[in-house]
Amino acid sequence: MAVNDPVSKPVVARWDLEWWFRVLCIALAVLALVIAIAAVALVYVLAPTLDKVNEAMARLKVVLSYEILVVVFFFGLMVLLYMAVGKIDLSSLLSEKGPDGTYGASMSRFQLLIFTFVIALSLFLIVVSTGATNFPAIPSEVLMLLGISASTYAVSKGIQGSNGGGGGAAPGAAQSAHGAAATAHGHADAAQASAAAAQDHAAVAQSSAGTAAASATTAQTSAVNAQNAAAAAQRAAQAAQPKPGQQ
Amino acid sequence: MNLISRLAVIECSVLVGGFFGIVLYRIVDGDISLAGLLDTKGPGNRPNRSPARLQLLIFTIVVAANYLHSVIVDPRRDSLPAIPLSVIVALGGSHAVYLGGKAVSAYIQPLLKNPR
Repeated sequence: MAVNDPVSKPVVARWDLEWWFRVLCIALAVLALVIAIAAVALVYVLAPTLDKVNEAMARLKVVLSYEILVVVFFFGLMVLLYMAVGKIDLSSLLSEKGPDGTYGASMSRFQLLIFTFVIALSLFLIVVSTGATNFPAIPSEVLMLLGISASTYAVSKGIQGSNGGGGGAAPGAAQSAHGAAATAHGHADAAQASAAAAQDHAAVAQSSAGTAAASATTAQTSAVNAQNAAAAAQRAAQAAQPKPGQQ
Repeated sequence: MNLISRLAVIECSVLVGGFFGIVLYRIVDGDISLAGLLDTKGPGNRPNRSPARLQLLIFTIVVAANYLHSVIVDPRRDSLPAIPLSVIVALGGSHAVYLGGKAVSAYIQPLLKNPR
């Protein structure tokens, strides 16, 4: 009985799709190369003698035009194929990172995309409708429009970049807090050690000289002070511990 | 139109149309997200509707649609249609308002929240 495996089947299908996609891209690249070599060979065979140089040059111009068309077409087609299958990721085309680290759609990117689309489409329509004989002139107002649009995107990105340090600052603050906590822990340990030493001194003083009660009392006082210092250092260490949200 | 011009037109149609088509399909499909396009982050990172973004969106769509309409109505011309200077100024003002709002929310509001 065949086992229906819902997990492995899509993986196999996706691998097949990727394999066929690679084969298609390689086939397109080989086809473009073959067409280019055939075009060069055609010019070479059809104009072998030197007295036909001018004619050969004219033919070479035409052949080069076709070659450029072929190469640009296949290159553009591969880019389109990669975009269509998701290998060129367009998901963050309109997204921008906010100061809190989350991503949201950006109005500056969106308006730049719209104006680019509109101007490019207009240019293409005019070129096609006039018979593709010449490139249309671009008025200065259109250049100003595109300049405003692109400048808005650039300035917006600058504002975002200078203000977006929140996401990057949190790890730095957490690291600083960690360092301060470690230092405070060290101070607390040192204070506890000195407190223990002072207690030892006090004990020695009490046992060695009963008459030296005053000095023992002094030593006890210093021990208490050292303990207080240790407690204060421990409190400072707890205060310097990073909160969970700062990690 | 000779053969090479015709081929160039077909090629540009495929590439430009394909690029626009893919981007538009991804936007409609939701892969290119437009969530939060009209929102700014308010206090506590809560999204608030932003009038500056809304007016910029309206200006952008109106100017772009008007321009595309003028090209579609009369495509046989030697140059791209010119845009009146008043429209450029209005659009520049709209962009300035958007950038001003963004700068205020980025620099002024944090100062007002934390004066020290």
